[in-house]
Amino acid sequence: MAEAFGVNLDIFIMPAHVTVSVWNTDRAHAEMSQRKTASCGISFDMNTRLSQLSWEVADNSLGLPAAVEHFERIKATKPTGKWEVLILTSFANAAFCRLFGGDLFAMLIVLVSTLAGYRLKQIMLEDGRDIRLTFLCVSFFSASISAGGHIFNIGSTPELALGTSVLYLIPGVPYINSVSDMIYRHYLCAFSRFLDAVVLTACLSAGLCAGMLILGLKWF
Amino acid sequence: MNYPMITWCVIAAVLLCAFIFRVVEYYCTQHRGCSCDHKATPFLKFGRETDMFYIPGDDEIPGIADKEDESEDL
Repeated sequence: MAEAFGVNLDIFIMPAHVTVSVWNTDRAHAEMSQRKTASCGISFDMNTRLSQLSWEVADNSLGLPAAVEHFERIKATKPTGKWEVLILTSFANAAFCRLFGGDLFAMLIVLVSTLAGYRLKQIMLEDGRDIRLTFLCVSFFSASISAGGHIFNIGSTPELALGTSVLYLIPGVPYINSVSDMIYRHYLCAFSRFLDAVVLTACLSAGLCAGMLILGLKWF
Repeated sequence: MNYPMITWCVIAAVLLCAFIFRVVEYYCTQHRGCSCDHKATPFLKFGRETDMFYIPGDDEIPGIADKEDESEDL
């Protein structure tokens, strides 16, 4: 994309800031800009549109004013509706349960526990609760609800229902991004993302363990 | 009913109550249109260090940064 505009570019990514350096090919003029990154959820829709824009610039030589206008339109993209995300996440997690060998009852239990847990997560985040506390509470309730399979002897694979009920909380994208940053030698950012993800994983593990402990389930 | 069943029912009931409370709160806000517009105060939250270590004379006063100084010089 930078080549299409006839400039060289370097991006320095920090946990909360991004620094972009741009200079022309003969190094006669350079600009540097630093911005604080917005804390928002991951929008795959926006990522796709940004990727399309970059290819349009690179392949179709889209001019800078048109690219900026396109970019502004992308920034105004509305996030996916919360009810759609809630329902699709629940079905996806139930499908995960099936992938691990869970039966129909286990899938149903995972569907219900994910619906309840994810809705709780949305409510807590809407209210501005801390994300770590949110993960702890949500994993506790999801694990507890899905432990109903064990307690009431529903289905033949209740342990899979319990195990997969908190999978939707695993911060997969930060883990993948941290590896990606490490490959490109952005070590500080990689470490920061990795640590963020580890803290969230620890919170969800604590919630899962608390649920199992309170309900008197055997660990292994 | 044994202990795990009772515990499970209590946990499920608490979650159900939370959802019902949320729905009731939402409808109250929608239909009465009222004083519930402000953002809910979090029960637990992490504050900034300036919330604890504000020293008179600092540029920014947490929470009232936009207010004009109403004090009068005597």
